[in-house]
Amino acid sequence: MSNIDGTAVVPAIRLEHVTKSYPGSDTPAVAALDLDVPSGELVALVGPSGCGKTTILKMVNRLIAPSSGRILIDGVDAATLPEHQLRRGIGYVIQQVGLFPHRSIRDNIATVPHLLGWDKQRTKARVEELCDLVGLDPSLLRRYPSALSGGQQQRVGVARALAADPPVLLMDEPYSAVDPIVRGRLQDDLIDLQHRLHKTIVLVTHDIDEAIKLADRVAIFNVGGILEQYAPPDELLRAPASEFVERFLGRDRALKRLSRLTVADLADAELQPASLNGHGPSLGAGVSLRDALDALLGSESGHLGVLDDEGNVRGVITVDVIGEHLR
Amino acid sequence: MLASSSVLANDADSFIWWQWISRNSDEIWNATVEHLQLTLLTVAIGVVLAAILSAIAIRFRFTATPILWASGLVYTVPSIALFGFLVPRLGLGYKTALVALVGYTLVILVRNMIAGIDGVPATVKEAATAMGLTPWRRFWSVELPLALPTIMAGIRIATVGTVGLVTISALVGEGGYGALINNGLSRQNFSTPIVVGAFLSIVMALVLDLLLWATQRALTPWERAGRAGRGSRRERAHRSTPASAPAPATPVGSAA
Repeated sequence: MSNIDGTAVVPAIRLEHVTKSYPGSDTPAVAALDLDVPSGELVALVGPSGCGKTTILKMVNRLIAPSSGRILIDGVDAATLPEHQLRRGIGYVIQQVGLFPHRSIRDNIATVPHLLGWDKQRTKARVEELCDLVGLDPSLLRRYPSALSGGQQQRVGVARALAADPPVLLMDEPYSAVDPIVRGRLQDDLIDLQHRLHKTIVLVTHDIDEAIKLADRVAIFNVGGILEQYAPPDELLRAPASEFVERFLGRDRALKRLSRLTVADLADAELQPASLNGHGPSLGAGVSLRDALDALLGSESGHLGVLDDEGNVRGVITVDVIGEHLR
Repeated sequence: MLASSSVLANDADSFIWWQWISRNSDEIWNATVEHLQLTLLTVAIGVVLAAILSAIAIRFRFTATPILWASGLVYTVPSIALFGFLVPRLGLGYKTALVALVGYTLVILVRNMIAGIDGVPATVKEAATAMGLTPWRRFWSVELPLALPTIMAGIRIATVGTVGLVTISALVGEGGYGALINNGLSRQNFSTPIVVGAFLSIVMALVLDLLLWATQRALTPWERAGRAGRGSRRERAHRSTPASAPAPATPVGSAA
């Protein structure tokens, strides 16, 4: 599969009037969906059970065939390619990981390069590069999947999906099966990865907070594959398009917006003068506004210093500063 | 002269008459070779036949039940009766023995082959397809290796069972240890060849089982891999910590 050829307008993935209905069911699982996934962005598909988000994901790599409509990947109709060839150009990560138990971790990761006929040198180098990329200890390469923890297995799953450097990565509830602490780390790692690689990623999740944390754009679906709203998380939180979206987002929308921002996002002009703080406690540049709010509410004075990247005090933050920023 | 039933004397009336063994070592060796040949041939044919039947049963699911039922039916027929049925049609000798013996292996082999293939986790198969493996490749490099332990277990059971049944094929004129046993039975109370025949067939069954077990272990190295030292701390050692600063305390012990 070729990479995008330079014309910025072509979306990485385009779904055109895609429908999926199953025999014996009156309502379609997915109904005439039009969706564009811009290149290099992480798009989250969220919604309640039965909304068709996983079905949509699986139609992109043709694990499920659409009943009607087209799916274009980098402008090429996916139906025109032999399935196995299409899939070798798309990375796929699932909740249960699905590593091959009878192959070593190294061989698992090298699955697609092996299928594509890469030579041993190139494959070996790539596997090592991937270990670094996903945060996997190279000493685990010769082990078998049963020897690894759930979090490690999921990292291997991501490495395996990225091995042949596909332009598109599909992820189906990848972090639902791991505990919250590991999940948080894996999510942070995905954000890092995305900053480095700029892959086009479609991620299915039922967790709206995960979608808001990770995605550049979020598509909220209702039962029957109805697209309720498709927008960047901040817009979603500020202006939900319907009651369904409002309910799905939950009651603490403003606080959710705060999780996506850090104190570094506040301009110097928005902060109070540093002199008010004296030598009081300060927040580092990377602290999220949500955590900052929490710290402020718990502080004695209601003032906290804000540091820049070098550790110098830029100004002082208060609850009002945060509130004003949101408006 | 001591009575022949005395413990010290060793002769034709003893449980094992050692002299008979050394005198008839050729016959014993031949019996061993015959027994081994018939066993191995039976299992080989059984495996091929079972593979074909299993492939049909898996590809066309509606045939699975009739196939398993039919092979189970053959198994239920007592061997003597089965020989009795076959002898008038195929005559005494090798062919009859082989047909009956192969028939007996089918039910366990087919059952285990189907169970083995069905036992491959669906998520692994889905991942294999999603990686871009063709169905052919997926079968040979993913499903078959993972089904191997179950299939090998079936082969081991079939082999050990066949060793035992070959003895009975002496009834249709085939040799093996059955001939030795027959030898003793036909010469009232001559126990030595019976003991030798029985003992050696047990030994052969054990040896073959051991060899197959060793083969299985060699073919499935991943089954031995345990959960030793996961080193989850080391896995993060060479990664730089992310930019986000001190987060509030993550809830300890929250439900997954």
